[in-house]
Amino acid sequence: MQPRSDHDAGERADGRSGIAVCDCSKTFVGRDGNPVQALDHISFDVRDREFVSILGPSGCGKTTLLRIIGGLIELDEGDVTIDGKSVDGPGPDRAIVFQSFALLPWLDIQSNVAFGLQLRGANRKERLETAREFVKMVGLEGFEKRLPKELSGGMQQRVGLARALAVDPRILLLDEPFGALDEQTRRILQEQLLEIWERERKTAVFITHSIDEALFLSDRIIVMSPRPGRVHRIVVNPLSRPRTREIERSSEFADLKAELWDELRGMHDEVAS
Amino acid sequence: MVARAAGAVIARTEGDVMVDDAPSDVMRPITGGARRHWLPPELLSIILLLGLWELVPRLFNSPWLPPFSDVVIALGEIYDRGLLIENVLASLRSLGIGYGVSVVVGLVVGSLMGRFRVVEAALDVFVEAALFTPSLILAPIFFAIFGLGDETRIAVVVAYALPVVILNTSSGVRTVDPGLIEMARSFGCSEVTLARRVLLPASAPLTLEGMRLGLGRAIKGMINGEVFIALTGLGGLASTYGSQLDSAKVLAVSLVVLIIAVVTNWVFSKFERRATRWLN
Repeated sequence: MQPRSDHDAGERADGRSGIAVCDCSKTFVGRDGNPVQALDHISFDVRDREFVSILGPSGCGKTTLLRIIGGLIELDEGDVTIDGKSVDGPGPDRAIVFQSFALLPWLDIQSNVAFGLQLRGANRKERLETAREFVKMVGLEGFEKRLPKELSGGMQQRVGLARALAVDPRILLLDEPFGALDEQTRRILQEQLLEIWERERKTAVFITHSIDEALFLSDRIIVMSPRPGRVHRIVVNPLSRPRTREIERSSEFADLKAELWDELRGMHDEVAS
Repeated sequence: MVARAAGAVIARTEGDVMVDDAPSDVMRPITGGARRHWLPPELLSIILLLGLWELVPRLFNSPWLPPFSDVVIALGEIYDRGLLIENVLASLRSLGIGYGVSVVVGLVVGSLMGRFRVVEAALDVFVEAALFTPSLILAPIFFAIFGLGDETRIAVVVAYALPVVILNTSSGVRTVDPGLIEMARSFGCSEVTLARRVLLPASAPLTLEGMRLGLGRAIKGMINGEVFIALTGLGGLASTYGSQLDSAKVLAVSLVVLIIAVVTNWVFSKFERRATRWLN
């Protein structure tokens, strides 16, 4: 933690490095034709190389928020900037890992991992080499020529992660990436993600509704409340890095968990731990 | 008589298309097992049918229903006079051009309709109408535009094949998993690249099925155009023999059309199966 806070202080001096979400609002037209406010004047920032989780029950607009940062949805009000520049669409500085994996079922694993590179104009040789490297990084060596349907959910999401990492983004946006997986797989993937993140130190925004997951992975946790989505509280996670599963047995972890539970208790349904 | 013969041929091929459709995967192990027989059941049923075709007409001795061997002899005569190859090629030419146009236009228009609500709203009514309108109604219009040349027959082929290609492509593209589109966009994908790398491959199962149905309809359009508009190609040949009351030759021509239909459908199915192997 120590060297990083120095680094953070330096970056924050000019206030321009990293992601800044300023006063963002977004309203959708609901199924019944009435407007539904998804986000209500959201503000927070994510420092360079920081791992931030956005925690909240369903309906708090956390996925909408991630899509806005990713440039997939436009804002009604406010501004999202990356290093001081407003986001106006997807960009090579960001890559998203999707809850549904979003793998192309007709491409083999290697081509799926290379897909982002292909769209960004990398030549064939470069693509294949990079893809092989990242397939290996997520531990799927030997599965390069398999189709997604031949892989388990956990393996498919590792492909999704490798695809995002392969384009070498500065910012990794993860939309409940382990939400569709069973508990055991999800814990293994959390550990693997953490290990990769420790090594690569990408700025990460991680959407989740799991308190344990947020605590295990992140530096800070942005707790959101639903209908309309608002920032309820921002919790600094003091747990030291590098982290192992041991940390979950510490009293510090238990206290933080209890605190977050209290924050979420008043809110709506479906808050899992 | 002629029209009915041609119609019957087409009905058969389209019938095959439908039957072969969904349960093919389920059926495969059974056919796999059947392969151990000394004769494949498909071949056996054809042999039985031909046997009946040979025997039954001999019992009734009707000039309208010649036995199979007479039809084969008639086919030989047509070939000897140099009419067969020439007319097959003429027919295949208008089929090929008409079907090619249908596929290209169908994929482009269908993709646009599937991707953009506005385009769909603007065109859907016409495409639906075209699917259910007997395309021969349009023949006078084609005459007026193209005259009595090849273009008219090609236009009839297109009128038959195009609507089903468009409709299948558009519903294929419309039902592509929005998650895949969003993923591609997140990597900065342009609309054209999206169509090429995501929409068309993802919608291939429906699109290819539309192209296969379109092929059957194109053959139907080819013969109808030749019979009713311009007396050339196989349809023209059948029509001529029909007016001479030469049943054996009419059936001989029908047999050729049937073979063309079955072979093209078989080739296309192979291709289709290969292209959609990634599906479960």
